[in-house]
Amino acid sequence: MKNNYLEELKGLLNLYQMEDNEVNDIVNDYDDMYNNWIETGMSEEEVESKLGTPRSIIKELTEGYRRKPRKQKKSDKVIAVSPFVALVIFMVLGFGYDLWAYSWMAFLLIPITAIIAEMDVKENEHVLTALSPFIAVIGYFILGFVYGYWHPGWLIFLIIPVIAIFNSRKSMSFLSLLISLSPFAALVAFFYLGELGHWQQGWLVFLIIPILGAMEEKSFLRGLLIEFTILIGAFGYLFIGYTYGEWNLALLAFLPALAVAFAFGYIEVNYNGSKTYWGFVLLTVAVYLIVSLAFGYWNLTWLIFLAIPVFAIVKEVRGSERVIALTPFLALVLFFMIGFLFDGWVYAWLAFLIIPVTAIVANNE
Amino acid sequence: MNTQFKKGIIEMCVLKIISNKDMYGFELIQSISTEIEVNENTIYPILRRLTKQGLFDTYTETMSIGAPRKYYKITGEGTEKLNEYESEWKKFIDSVYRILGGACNEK
Repeated sequence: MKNNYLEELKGLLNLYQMEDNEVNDIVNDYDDMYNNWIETGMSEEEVESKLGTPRSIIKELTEGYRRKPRKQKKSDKVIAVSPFVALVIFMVLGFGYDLWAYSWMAFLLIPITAIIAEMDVKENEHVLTALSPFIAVIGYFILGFVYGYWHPGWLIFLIIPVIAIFNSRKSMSFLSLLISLSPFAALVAFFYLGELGHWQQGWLVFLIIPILGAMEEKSFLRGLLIEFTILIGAFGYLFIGYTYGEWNLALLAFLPALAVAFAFGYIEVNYNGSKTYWGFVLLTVAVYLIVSLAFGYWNLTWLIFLAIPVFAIVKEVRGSERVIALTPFLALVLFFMIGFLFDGWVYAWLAFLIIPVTAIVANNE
Repeated sequence: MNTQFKKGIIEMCVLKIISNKDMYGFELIQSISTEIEVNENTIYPILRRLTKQGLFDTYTETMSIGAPRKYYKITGEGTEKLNEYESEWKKFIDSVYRILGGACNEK
């Protein structure tokens, strides 16, 4: 949070004709202030509302300084040209080779170009987060159309939340990163085990999440107790299940682990710092499983996982870049809703046009 | 109160407080804000400007806990400027009192 705040401030100050050492002085001062307020016991959110957002204080800080003249960027021209290039590719592939099923993908070039050009690739790691839906869509259709792997090809969409979490790694500890990524690894492993015929026991791989989570426990003994009860649960479950064939009854083996989790207050979502991420990821996985099991629609419900990159972007990217970074996810949801629910695949790709439109509008503001 | 006017007065207060004791930014804000409503977005630019004008020197002190602190110390030039401000301020405020006092007597 602090690094983002200071980076945004620095980025804004750099828009003015100010000496580098002056910019650094100001950033260092804000670094000091931030630390001082933290030392008084304030949370990062409280400090930021106390100091004011970089955008709200920039006018005061740059009083008497002129803005650097904005150069006509080359990227503007590239964005302007991309729809025509896309249209030509679309026509050539369609009419020339009768590849209508694939040729619409040429239009994905437009938002991809806009994102690369508008978001500063070097400064902002979330460029890849914003691009990940396209990589996934293209990969998904290649796997589907070319190889017929619609299932488990949809698993490729998991790269979206995974990339989002991975790109937020600077604001997370390594362990939090592992915990946040573990549900996806578990999901892949679950389907793999399922395909091998172990649907009944395969869900145990999800236990990797609490097992990693318990490592965040500061007290060694408490951590050990949790790990121990989880393992007891897993072994007990398998033992009762295989020996007596009573798989539902076997779930009782997890009672000690549940009791410990309740006693230590883990079974509540914690919204502080980097824990927010894995709290949110767990919530998303839970909603995904509940909605999917209750209503079916497995081909749509995975879209729920998009909430994770959206969450990461809302939390870490500010200003017009945030809007630009969010539009691919909105487009993807619209694309699949129109496609699956109304069988409107022919038109669905038009949803991706909201991305360049947003990028251009946001840029002009 | 007019913002520019207030900023000028706060600038004088900052010079005065630092002339009594070297302080770091946060400490100074705490000290001033007991009397006048100020925030860091006002004080830090003043500190930077006065340092740039040579009225303050800065030095860093490492702390046993937490980040090192940047202290501000008044320079000879700063003390001269403060004396100048103080005498101007005294003259100004005397005149204001006389005017207000006269106005009050008429009532």
